[in-house]
Amino acid sequence: MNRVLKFSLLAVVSVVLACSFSACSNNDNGGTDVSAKDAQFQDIAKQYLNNTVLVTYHTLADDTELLVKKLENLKTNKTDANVQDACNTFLEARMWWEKSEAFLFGAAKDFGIDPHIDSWPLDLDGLLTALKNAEQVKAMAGNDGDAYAGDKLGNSLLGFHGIEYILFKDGKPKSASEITDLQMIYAVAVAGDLRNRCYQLELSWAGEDAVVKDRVSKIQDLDLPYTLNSGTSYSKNMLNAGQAGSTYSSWTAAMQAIIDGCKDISDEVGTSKIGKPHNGEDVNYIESPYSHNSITDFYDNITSVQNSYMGGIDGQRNENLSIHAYIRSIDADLDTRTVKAIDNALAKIKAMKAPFVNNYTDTSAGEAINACKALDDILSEVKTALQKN
Amino acid sequence: MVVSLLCTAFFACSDDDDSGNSGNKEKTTSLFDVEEETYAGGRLGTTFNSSATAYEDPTPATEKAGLGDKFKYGEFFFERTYTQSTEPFSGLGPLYVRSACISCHPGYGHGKRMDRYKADEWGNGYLLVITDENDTYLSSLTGMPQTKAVAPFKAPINEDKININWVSFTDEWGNKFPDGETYSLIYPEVTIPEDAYYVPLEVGGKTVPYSSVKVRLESTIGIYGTGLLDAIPDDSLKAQYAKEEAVGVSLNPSIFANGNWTSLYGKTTHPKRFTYALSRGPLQDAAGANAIWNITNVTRSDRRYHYMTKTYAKVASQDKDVQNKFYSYFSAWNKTGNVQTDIYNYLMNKELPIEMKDEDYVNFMVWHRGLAVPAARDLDDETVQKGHQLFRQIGCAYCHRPSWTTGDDNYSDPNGFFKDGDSRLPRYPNQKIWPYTDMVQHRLYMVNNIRTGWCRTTPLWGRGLSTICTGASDRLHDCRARNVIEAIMWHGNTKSDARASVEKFRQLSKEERSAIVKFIESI
Repeated sequence: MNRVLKFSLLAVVSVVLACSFSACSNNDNGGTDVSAKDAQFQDIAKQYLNNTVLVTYHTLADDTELLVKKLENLKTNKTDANVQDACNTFLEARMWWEKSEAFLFGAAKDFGIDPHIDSWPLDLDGLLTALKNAEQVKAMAGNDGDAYAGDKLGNSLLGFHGIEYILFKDGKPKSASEITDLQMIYAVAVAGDLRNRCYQLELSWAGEDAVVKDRVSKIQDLDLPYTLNSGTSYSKNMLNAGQAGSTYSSWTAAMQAIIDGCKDISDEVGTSKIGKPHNGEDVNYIESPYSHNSITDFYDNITSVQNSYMGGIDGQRNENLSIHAYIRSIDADLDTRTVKAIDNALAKIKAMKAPFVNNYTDTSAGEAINACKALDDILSEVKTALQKN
Repeated sequence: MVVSLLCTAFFACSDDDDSGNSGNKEKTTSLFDVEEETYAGGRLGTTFNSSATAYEDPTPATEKAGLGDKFKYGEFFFERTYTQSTEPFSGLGPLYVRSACISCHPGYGHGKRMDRYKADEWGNGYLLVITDENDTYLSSLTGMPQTKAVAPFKAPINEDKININWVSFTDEWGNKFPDGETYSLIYPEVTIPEDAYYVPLEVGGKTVPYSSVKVRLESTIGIYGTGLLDAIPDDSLKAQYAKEEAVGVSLNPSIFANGNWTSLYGKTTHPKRFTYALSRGPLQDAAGANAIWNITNVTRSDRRYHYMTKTYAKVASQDKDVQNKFYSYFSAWNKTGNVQTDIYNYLMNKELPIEMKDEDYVNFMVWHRGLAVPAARDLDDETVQKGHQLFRQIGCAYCHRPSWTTGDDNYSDPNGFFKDGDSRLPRYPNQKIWPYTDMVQHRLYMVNNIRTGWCRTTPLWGRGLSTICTGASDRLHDCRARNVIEAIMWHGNTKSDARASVEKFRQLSKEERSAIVKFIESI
């Protein structure tokens, strides 16, 4: 990731020294003496948590829960219409996951949820083996099939891409006749596990008090972790920035973490997700090959950046309570360039020749790569600007 | 007393390497050069990222050499889950330790303390260390035992039967400081019942009784910065050993004695520098280069064989369950029609098809050698500065040697992929780095100790970011310490090489102890 050259030591040392002397909040006084900048950062964090992170994870949990129902329905009633229905719900759920990728730090990372629900490619040999194994099939078909799948199948057989393989082919929903009963048993079990992990994401960030009791019980029954070692939720951890026990040593660190999450996904999309297939001319590196959903995935990833920077998801955005507003107030030119870079990355991705799996060497892919890298670079400048007093 | 003499000899004014000059640039508010020490990996090896991906950045050297993209391409091979034959991360099996590297190295950091051993459990960085009572590894298992297999093979050990029991320990001080503050100490006892083993228990090819088998745990420690450590000149390591020997420090005779190395790495002229047991030398053939082959069992052009034991191959080839299904899963290996022979020959084959392309291996090494060390944080802070001073005063810096200066870094590659100092990998010449390790083995005499008791001083750099990067901050080789105080107090055995420092630590006030902890969390 390209942040190193752009972020100077001077900024680090100067803020540390400054904080020793100024009224910046620090670990020692328990946050009672909050500067105006910190107060603004606190408001931005609240908006970010409620209207970007929590709403995204809540909707993801709802949609993956619905996906299980759709697949169960399909299992009992294998019709083309039901396949289509399940596919629609799959794509909706996937969209919310991809829109969370600017904040993979926290639970998605710490608890290995990201690789658990989004590993690719699917291990096709492993899948064939599992479906040939009567004991495994029986376990997957049982009431606790979801728990069994999550515990026993391994990341290369779980998550979105396992389900994607069962439902889609060449970018379209399969016809019902192409899906076997065994495959449906697997799909339902895997979807159940996917749903469980999305519950875990929601719970880890929102905290027990803010999540439906059934979901909390489910996670507790599965013995899955959902707090930091300190016992707090990931939201509370951020809201405690600057206080003892928080992993954020200051409000500035919390804001920088938000931007770092945006940088990570921008670089990932540019250099890895688009870059590797394009530059290496290798189709095997394309992530959603069965549903031909890659370009949508990339677009949703950068939407995640936009939501994080601009103060909320579409429909719940408050630009006044955003890093965008803060940067505009201290460096309007930087903010303009940042907003432009986000818009440009979105536009260039939208303009990619579709489907990606058939057009990965196209120049439109190269332009999207450049746009994403440029976004990563400018976010480094934003990160530095956050340090300034 | 030897230790206090050492303290004076090494640490009078500075943390420099053995040149002995003080080298402190003056800053009126600081007792040492904050800027210099903030660059923990030197100008070429440090990242100013202190968020969740702080351990994952490329070094400035990597970026400057135009290797940024290759770094990301190599990263795939560390982060992704391997499959049997679905490209591009294929080749998993027939037996494997983990299906992804990152699950052992969560967030690229230290493994997490576990209550059970499950290969797929996120953050389980444990290797099972299975030996006889003389610390000799069982020969019927691989040195890093596998608990996973692809059909129709069976795992050498059934991991569902592994039991990890965390036992409370009370030290001679009752787990209490003179001022009354208490701490808790725990350590693991690992048992594997006899029926969990698929292979017979053998040492040197001969059966040993189950009662003689010992099981311990060794965890991963974090992979960033190994490129910088690799750039420390061989002669500098030798000088450090010689210096310690000269003042009476007990050294591992199988590594160094009478002013000289008693063993080098493999057939090279290089000393050993990596892993607790000092089992590896140059980074280009050290734990990472080896693990990218043997953890997942993915072959490459210079490793066209399985990570495997003869005993396992024999057992599997004679196993009726395996025989019945082998040809249906591995039809290409029906070479003779004699399934027992074919299974054995497949498992023990020395010219297997190549699964990891050379280009991908080179990119992987770019990433591996290119991982940056996070900058130290808050070195201006008054408490951190106090801790910095005390850490040295009480002698911790004796084994946790603060800094080194790298040489020309014309690194070598025992595997022969890279020429000496090859420009395809990032290099770190003439860097002042701050890993806080002397790269020498010492002994702590902990209960249920590390195998052989000798353990290379683990680098302390970057560890303060563990919680934000990995979700945990467990320390020591088997993750028994849940915080810095516990890690320090495990250094306190009567016979421990760190005993004198721990005695001094105990005499400090609570404020002073906390200052040391804060310092350790800041580097």
